[in-house]
Amino acid sequence: MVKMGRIVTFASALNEALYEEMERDERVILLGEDIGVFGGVYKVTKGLLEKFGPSRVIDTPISEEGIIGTAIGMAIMGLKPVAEIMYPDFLPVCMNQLVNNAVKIKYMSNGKVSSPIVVRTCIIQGRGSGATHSQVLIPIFMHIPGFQVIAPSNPYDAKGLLKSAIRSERVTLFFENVVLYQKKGEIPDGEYTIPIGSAEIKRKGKDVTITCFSSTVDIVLNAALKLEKEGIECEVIDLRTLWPLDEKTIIESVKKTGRIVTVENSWGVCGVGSEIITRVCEKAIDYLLAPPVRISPPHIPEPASPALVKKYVLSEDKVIDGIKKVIEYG
Amino acid sequence: MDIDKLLWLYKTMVRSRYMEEALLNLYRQGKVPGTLHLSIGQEATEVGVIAAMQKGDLLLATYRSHCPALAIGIHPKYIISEVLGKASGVCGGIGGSMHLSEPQLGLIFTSAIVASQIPVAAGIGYALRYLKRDNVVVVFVGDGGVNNGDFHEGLNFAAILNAPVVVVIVNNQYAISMPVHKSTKVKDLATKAIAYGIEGIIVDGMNPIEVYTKAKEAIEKVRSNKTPILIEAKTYRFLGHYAGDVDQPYRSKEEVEEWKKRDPILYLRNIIKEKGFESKILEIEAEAEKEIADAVEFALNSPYPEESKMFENLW
Ligand SMILES: Cc1ncc(C[n+]2csc(CCOP(=O)(O)OP(=O)(O)O)c2C)c(N)n1
Ligand SMILES: [Mg+2]
Repeated sequence: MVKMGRIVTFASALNEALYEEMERDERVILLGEDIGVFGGVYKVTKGLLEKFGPSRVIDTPISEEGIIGTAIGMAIMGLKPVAEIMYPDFLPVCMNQLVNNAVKIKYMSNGKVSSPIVVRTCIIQGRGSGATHSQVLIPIFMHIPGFQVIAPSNPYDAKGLLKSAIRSERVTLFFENVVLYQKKGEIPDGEYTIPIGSAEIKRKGKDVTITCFSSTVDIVLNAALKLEKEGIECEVIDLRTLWPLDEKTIIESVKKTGRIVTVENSWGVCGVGSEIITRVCEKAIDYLLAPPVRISPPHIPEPASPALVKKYVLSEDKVIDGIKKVIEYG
Repeated sequence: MDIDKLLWLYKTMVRSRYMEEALLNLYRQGKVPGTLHLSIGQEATEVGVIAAMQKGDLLLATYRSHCPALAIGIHPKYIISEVLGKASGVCGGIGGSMHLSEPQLGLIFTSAIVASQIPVAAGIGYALRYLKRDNVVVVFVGDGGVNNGDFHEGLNFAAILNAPVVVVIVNNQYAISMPVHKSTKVKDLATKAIAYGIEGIIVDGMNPIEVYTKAKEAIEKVRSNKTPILIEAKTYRFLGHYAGDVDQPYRSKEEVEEWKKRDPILYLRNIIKEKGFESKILEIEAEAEKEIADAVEFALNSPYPEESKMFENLW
């Protein structure tokens, strides 16, 4: 068991991870829009320019292809770039560099050239900013071979996973979430990392397995607490890493509970849940007591109106309804 | 310039200023969902260019577009309603403050993905010519947007397709925290036109008369020559990048105060006053005040859209 030490916010846990990795390894370089003087639009990179200087904290123009392409070049030369793309909504703007260069160079060069970069981005779903400032887009990067996709739900995981990502030899997409930035949690005083690709069982239960990640973890845990009072015992799995998927933890859990509900903030079609449920069907169909259920926002862009945002995003009620559906099936 | 035009420019800038001040108030009261980008300080550029457009000319702009939306003719009550996410908003509350659209009045859409509107403008310009319409498309982009690939591809397309496109760089000196002199080594953004073999011009974006006059000339030239022109308007945003950007660690208070001395509204007010039309000014201000107060009232009292609305128009 790790000895815990301090209470920090999600945002400062990330800031610490960057700080420590930059101190530890001078090849670590940050680049992105408004990360230096401004300290990031949500202050995650605050103080890093002052500490490490402009050659290691590079404020860039609004050129997403440029940011990722440049990061790839740096990585090829042995540097360890951590690029920031403000919101996932702008990942499509640099999709070419990500898809055709970042995760292809090593493969095509037969392993001779590689570009391990980390791309941090912050989901701003549910804030009323409309259809182009709200998207999650995580499943796209599970679909394309080669990415390592991480979406932590708490300060402890955020710090440990970001440090692992920076040290990793793979291309990482690291999804933060604006609703988590001020969330507080305990972290150890000393150095620690968390292995990429391992889920965490947040809560043990015998009736139903529920997978979630990022901002949906707290929603699911709250729902599980309510259902406990009704005699339903939920096993809640925080996936933490979406790819590589911790299939073992999921399958073992389903073999025990016989029921699976997947919860995600990304769209459900070809989503995280689709992949998980397929694997459950492939590996544990004989254990299933009820058809699986996927819970996600509706398959539409996010509307701006706060009245509609409420209907669009996941809620505890929607999660409870979904869980009851698998329980009541029998 | 004739007095009617001057009064129109003044009236439109004042209405926009009052509307945006009202929006800022609503934001501070926690009534604005999402984020809010205000044009306060740069009204001369946005209003001046739009004043130079003719009937049937089209506009594409950015997430910072309450002012252009008002100038092109959308009533402030529909703009404020959209910002608040009400059913009465110009896009039914679905678009929100950054995504405004009213093609009937010439506003095709506003984009919140920086620079992505520019290639679209090239296509619209091409279509206007192909359809033999004697119109142009005007597209706004920020100084930060100039460094995005879409700017380059869009301008080059507009040029080689001989599309009647007027690209207006609203150079308000900053892209969030990035000062323009750090995002490019080019001193005048208008010189980027050279790369596309088109004309680039610089205008004083704090002077509504100059913006209007030079934009008019450019728009008419584009209309007859079917070759794009790049206009750089040098201006300044008085407030933060978005309403929540209060500290602004990237610029000094002195710099802001210096630019505020060049407030385009005060500038034009003095000119009109000197011409002996002070009573008109007071009339315009009183009317605008009432119009905006009523518009806020209207927006606050409007209902939110029905849930079914969010499933419409996906295809
Ligand atoms: C492709 C893309 N990258 C990043 C952003 C985030 N962003 C929104 S506005 C902005 C600055 C834009 O500056 P500028 O083009 O000068 O326009 P201004 O805000 O000054 O009007 C940035 C980086 C975005 N909306 N789209
Ligand atoms: Mg700007």
